Order: sequence, then structure tokens, then C-alpha cells
Amino acid sequence: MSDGAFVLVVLVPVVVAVLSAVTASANGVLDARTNGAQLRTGFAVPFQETARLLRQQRRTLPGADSLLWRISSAGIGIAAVLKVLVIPLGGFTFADLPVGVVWFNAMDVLLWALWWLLGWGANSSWSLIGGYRFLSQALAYEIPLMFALTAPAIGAGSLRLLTVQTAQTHVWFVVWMPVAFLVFAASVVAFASWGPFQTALGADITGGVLLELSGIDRLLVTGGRYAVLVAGAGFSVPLFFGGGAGPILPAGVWVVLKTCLVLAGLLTVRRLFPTVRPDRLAEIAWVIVVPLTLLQLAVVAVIVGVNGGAL
Amino acid sequence: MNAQAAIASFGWVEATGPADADVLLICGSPGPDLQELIDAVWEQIPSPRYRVRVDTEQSLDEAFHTIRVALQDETLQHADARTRRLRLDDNRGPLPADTPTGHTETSDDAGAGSDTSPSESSSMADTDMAMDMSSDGDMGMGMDMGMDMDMSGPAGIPLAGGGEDRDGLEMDVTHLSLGPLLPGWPADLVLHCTLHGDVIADARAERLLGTGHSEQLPECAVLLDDAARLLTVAGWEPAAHELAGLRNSLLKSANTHATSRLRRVTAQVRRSRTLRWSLKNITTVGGTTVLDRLLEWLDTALAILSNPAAAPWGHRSGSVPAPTPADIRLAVLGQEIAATRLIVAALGTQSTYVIPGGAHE
Repeated sequence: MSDGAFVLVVLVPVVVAVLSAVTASANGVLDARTNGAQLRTGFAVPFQETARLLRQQRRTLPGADSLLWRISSAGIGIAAVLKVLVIPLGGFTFADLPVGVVWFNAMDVLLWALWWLLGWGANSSWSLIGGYRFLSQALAYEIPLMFALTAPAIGAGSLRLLTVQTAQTHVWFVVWMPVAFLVFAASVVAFASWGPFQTALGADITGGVLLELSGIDRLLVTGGRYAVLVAGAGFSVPLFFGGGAGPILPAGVWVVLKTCLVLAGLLTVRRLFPTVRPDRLAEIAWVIVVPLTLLQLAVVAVIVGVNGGAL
Repeated sequence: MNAQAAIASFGWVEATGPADADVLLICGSPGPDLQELIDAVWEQIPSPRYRVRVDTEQSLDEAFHTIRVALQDETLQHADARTRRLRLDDNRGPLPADTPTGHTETSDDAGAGSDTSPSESSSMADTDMAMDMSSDGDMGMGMDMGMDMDMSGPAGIPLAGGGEDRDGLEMDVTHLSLGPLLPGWPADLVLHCTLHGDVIADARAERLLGTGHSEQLPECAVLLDDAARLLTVAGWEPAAHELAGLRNSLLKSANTHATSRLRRVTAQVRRSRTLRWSLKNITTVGGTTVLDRLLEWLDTALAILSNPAAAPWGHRSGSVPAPTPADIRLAVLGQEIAATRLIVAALGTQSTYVIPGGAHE
């Protein structure tokens, strides 16, 4: 990393925060439209909520494991920023890891720990159930996710994101790896506890892992959740959408634009699908999705073998 | 229900639990049991907070204006926060047993609240409020004014002492009370559960006796409200919001396009494969599946809306008995918490509704 990158790297959390706020605003606008409220009100929701939570008392519970609880509420946003660090913006990247794809997976496993600790730390039955729900959901999505991540790596013959990106000069991976992309997108929704996979925060367990959080802690978790969505959407760009490739505009702008498009898709998913009950999820993940991703991998491997490289 | 409509019209939202709430709104006059629970919920709401009780629909508006002023009153809120600081923060030092018991006992409860985003008025620009609505005791018929606010009930969890089994194996058996202050839960029902993990090994249902009166509401609004709660519990927030919005417009009798909007939502619910798959095999009291019950409510509401004069369905009748605690116990035994919430939500608040099966549309 050059000296310039060291300076620029402080911008990463800022950019992630801005994109998260934009996502939250967009979600607020969609909600406002459903509720028949003014769209302007929906747009302001994240900012008002931030102001409200900053003014609110923190709380704790008897017997709470405060250290782990606070670590996990702060950690979700940090994990998101760490994911974003390895995303290439055209030819430039903050951290050019030879195993960038695995880094993403590592951060995702970090989220397992964080969501679960969030449920554990509060010392509350509802939160704990939420934490366990996340774990059972994670068991369902993690194996398909790992296979899905392997597809672009096989296509490019490398785990390095810059190489994965340049392998898509002719055809984006999303074109011949649609299943891998869909599984990846579903996993992003799942590790952000979003939309149909938000059982850890479900209304039926009165908010689950979120239930006992107030003030700054709640802000960090709800904001962190959007940040994780942003990071996941951003990561799909070098993996499936050709990275910064695009006419006229600079590569960095294209990455952000494509990220926003994927984010729009993720917001839509929340509106289209009800929550999938946690005990039903593993069934579909293991019986249907795992074989499908394996099939996808086989197709990719054959294409790469016959073609001698990416399409 | 009118309180909920008022919350929406102020641009506020209902909270899911006490930690999320800024305001505790009590509708009607709670009985002593419920009052105790409400106090416990109040104890858990972080400052700045405000608590207000309303008796009539007319006083709602006035109460809401007081809420705005009170939440912005720095002096008052600071004083409140100072006096309770010890209770909330010092449990790192002393043993949990030293903290006020109300707090300890209720540590596992969720309260009801609503989180408000301040409405459009510019004076509120930087204050967000949440409203916590607790409904209380007035449910002669299982309905009270504030009925479905999210409330949670204190679970008198025996292991709240902090020394509970943390070694995984022994923790298997826990005791948890569901209700009566829980989102999407009938305000007069308490379910004392013995849990193995999150599966209900045994349960005892109890009806809290209410003291107040119930609201006079259009039947269609009641049906929509029940459906909205069920969808909330099932985790389809946007669809639930849509139905709640419809319910609110019916209460104001401004049902412009209500029929077509309801038809659209009903079709969406009926079409959703995810919902069908997610809810399959869950039967509520009486052997109906949860999904069928939901569709019946929606169809009945639609029938009433499109032909208000006839309104042949959905009339209340004494001939169908409300589910007894024993029925409820049987329905939830061996179920997991999520399924239990759905089963109870599918009872509806008006469990005495006669809902004809078959096709009526």
C-alpha cells in the first residue's frame, strides 16, 4: 500500500457510512410510500433515528456480558468496513490480498460470532433465541456461500480480486454464473439479517438480538446492518459484475454505481418476500441450493477446462 | 386501535420493545396485574422517556402534543435520567440481586413501544420520539383500545439472577412467560412456558381479566388489524404496514381505493409461495391452518368492503366459543417459539368471530 493509500484509507469508513445512510433513506422512502406517508419523511428516517438514538440512554441488564455485548454491537460495522477494504476500484485497491476472496469469507464468519454474541451478551431469553436463530440460518447459508465464492475463483483461476476482475474483460461472470450470484446475493441478505432472512431480529421474538439495545449500541447495530449490506453488494461487483469496467466514467464511480444497483435489488427483496421461518431454511439450503451450486461449479470448471480460461 | 391510527397520523412508529421506545402510552385503565407489568416495562425504557395514559379517543390528540413537549424538555429529562442512573448502570459492580427487583425480573421482557419518527413539523427536527403503547386491561372481549401495540410481558424468568447455567447442556430447560405485552399478541393472554431450547415442552395459558371497556370499531378494521398482526409475526413487514394503513384509513372512514388496495394485498399474500412454504403445517386452535385463517380474514374484509350493505360475514356470534386455555395449550405443545407466536396470532383478537369457510367472493 502506498503512502497515498494510507491517507485515503480513512475515507473508507466514511464512504461506507454514507452509502449505508443512502440505503437506509431509500428503504425509508419505500416504506413511506407503502404507509401512505410523505416520501420526504421516509428520506429523513435514518437521520432522525440517529439523532434520537444519540440522545438516548444506553442500557444494560442484570447479568449481561457487557464486554462481549458491546464488542459485538460495535463490531458489525467494523466487519463491513474490513470487507470493503479489499474491493478493487478499477486498478486501485487498498489491500491487494492474494486471497481476497477468502478474506471476505473470513469476515463473514466473523459476523457469525458477532450476531451470536449480540444475542448472548444481553442475558435475555429473546435475544438468545435470536442469536441461535442466526446460527442455524448461518449453517444453512454458509456452505452454499462458500461454493458460490469458489465459482468466480475457478473462473479466474485466482483468489486475488484484481485477477478475478480482469478475467471478466469480455464477459461478466454473472452471465455464466447466475446461480453463484443468486446464492451470493441471498447470503448477503442472510448475513445482514435482512428481509426474508431476518429471523434473528424477528418481530415474533420482539426484535431478538436488537431487543435490549438502546442508544448508541442500537445505532451501531442498525447502522452496521446497512453497512454489511453495502459491503456485500460492493463485493459482488468485482466478483460478478466486472469490477470498475464501464464507459466514460472513472472505474471508482462505476464500482459505486453497480453497488447501488445491487443494493436496490436487495431492498426490493425485503418487500417481496416474507420472512422464512428458521427451522424451514436448512431444508431448502441443503437439499436444493447446495446441489445447484455444485452443478454451477461443475459447469464453470468444464467451461474453463475446455476454453482454457474464462470466457 | 384508534391510538395506533393516531400514531401513524403523527408520523410516529410503534416500537418493538422497551429499549426501542421513547413513550409509553397506556390506553384505558389497567387492572392491578397488568399495571404491575406496565410498570416493569416503564422501568426498562431508556431516557428520554415519557409515560401517559389516555381514557378516551378524544384525549389522544392532546396527549400526543404533551408527549412532544415532554420529550424535548431537557430539564425534566435530565432530572429523570439522573435519578435512575444507578439502577441502569451499576449492575457491573454489585450482584444482580442488588439491583431493583422489578428490573431483574423483567430482564427478559419486551415491552411495547413505538418508535416514532417525528413527523413533518420542523420544530421536531432533531427529536425523535417513539411511542410505546401498552394496552391495558380493557378487554372484556379481548380487545382493548390500544390493542396491538407491541408489548411484552414480563417473563418471570427464574434464571434472571445471573448465575444461571451457562454450560450449554443444563441451560436447555428454561421458563418463559409469553405475553401479555408483546407485539401481535392478545393483550389478555399469558402463556407460561417451559422451554427446551426454543421448543415448548409444557405450557399453561391464562387469561388476564380486564377492567375497561372496548372500542367500538368497524368489523372490517378489526379483521384487517388481525391480519396485519399475523403478518407482522410472520415477518412480512411491508405487507403488514400496508394492511395497517388500510385499517387506519377505514377508522377515519376515508376509504378511498380501499377495496382495490385490499384486493391487491390479498392477491399478493395468496400468491406468495414463500409465505405458504414458511407457514405450512402450522395449525391453530380449531384445526385451521394459519395461512387459511389469514386468507379468510382478508377475504371476509374484502367482502364487507366491496358490499358494505350486505355484510353477511364476519358478524359476531356467541355460538362459537372462544378458545379455552386448554385448547391453546394443546395447540402450542411441542411447537417452536416462532410457530407458537403464529398460532396465537391466528386466534385473532375477536376469537368469537364466525368465519364461514368455503368460497365467498
